Amino acid sequence: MMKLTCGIIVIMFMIMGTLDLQASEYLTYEEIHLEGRNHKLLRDFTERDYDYLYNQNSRRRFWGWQTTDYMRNVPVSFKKETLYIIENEGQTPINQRYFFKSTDQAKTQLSATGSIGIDVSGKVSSFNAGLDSSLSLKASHEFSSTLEETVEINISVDPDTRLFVEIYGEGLLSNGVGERYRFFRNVGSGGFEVFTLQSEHYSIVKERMES
Amino acid sequence: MRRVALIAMAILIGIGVYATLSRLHVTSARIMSVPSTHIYYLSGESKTFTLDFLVNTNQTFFTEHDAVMSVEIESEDATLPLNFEGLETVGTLHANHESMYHMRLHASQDFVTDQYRFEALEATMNIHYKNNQTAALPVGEFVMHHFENSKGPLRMESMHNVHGRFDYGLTSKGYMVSLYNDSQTPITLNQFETGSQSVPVNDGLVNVSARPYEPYMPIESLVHGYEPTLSDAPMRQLILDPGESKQFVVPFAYRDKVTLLHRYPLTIAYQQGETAHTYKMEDFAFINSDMFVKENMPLLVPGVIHD
Repeated sequence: MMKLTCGIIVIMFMIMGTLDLQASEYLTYEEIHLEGRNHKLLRDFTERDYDYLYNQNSRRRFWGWQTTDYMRNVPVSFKKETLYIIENEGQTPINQRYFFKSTDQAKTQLSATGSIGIDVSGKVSSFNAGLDSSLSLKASHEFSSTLEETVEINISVDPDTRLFVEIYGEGLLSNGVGERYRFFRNVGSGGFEVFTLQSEHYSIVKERMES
Repeated sequence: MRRVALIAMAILIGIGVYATLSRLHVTSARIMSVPSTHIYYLSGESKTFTLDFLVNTNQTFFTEHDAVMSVEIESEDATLPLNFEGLETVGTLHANHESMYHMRLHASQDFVTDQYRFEALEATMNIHYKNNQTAALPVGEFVMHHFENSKGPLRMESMHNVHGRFDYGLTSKGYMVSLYNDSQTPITLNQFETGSQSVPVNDGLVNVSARPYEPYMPIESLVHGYEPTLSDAPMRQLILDPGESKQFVVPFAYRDKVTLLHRYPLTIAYQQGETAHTYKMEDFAFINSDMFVKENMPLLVPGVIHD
């Protein structure tokens, strides 16, 4: 009996594992700013959101995916990261030349929950079982190699001053839910999200350190 | 059986010869670019940057790093040779119902002469290939300037690019800069500049910002009545008292049409008593707008391939 209970718990954890969010890099950004009051990321979907979206489309399909959008190509802004902080604790200004490198990252990034999976084996990630074509997500960029560009600046950091370099940017976000059918039978469901990176730019802030 | 093998071999040789010839000399391939605004100020020994274009086939030398012999930027009356640093295929995309290869050319420039300035409002990038063919691509405004920073009492405390959306994608609408007078005498700010003719600072709209910088704030909420067209009004008198720090909002104007701004430097001309100073910073804000998004397709201009 004990073994059976343990087995059930293990299986439950395995099932719960498949419901976890499979996320891309954009979800590691420091901030993602959505303009609309009702806009939200897939990771913030509640059970009620899922139920509502699934109920929007109650017709069963013979074969393939039935999808319902929550957001489609909604502009989003983000703060990606604070590149680094320099502190001048000395008595004289520091005049230094800094190099920033734009990092390699996929232009189109995907997240999924439930039984929707992400295939990361190719040059570009894609949703499994043909969900990509069902969502008409023919990415404008089919692949992306290493993108690297160096920006060089001369900058002076005064005494008792801290320097921040922050990366901001914009992108487009689409998300929703999908249900997969085989012979009118629902064989899987979950949430999907597509983030398309559009631009990145830098902010530089010098801040007086409190002594 | 032997005859079939011979025919197959002949076909393969034919395909090989055709492929080789087509790579050696191509006139049917098409190249395209989005003319935009490139302003590079250089205070160090060299500057690296990238220039993007599209090619409709990867069966040519246009996509091959080793096929490039030299690169230059050409204006009506001058030529600026660049150091070729590399060529990469960024991706494929659909432009005007056609599959295109997005190419990124890496180049650098180093100056030996102080105060050198190259300016072209409608520049062409010439890529010379080893087979004696040249791809000429319109790249828009191209400015390269070498400068030495003058030592003065103006200190920059922060700068934020204010990004925005026009009909053709995302680009910069201006910036916010916080400046500090590190002296015992007042400073008068005379002019803010981008160094660009196509994207100048909208002088009449430059002002002290009533609101502190907040990320994601549109320029329309910082500048009442913001329009991208150049205002006729002169710049207000802006003074920084000794030890004073103020935040300024500096909107851009787009002359003729909105173009994509790739990078821009910061130039502030100011005066303290009878002494004039210029504060400059190269590449302060870096904008990595994607040139080839769907909204920008009307901006695509064909390049020319010639011998």
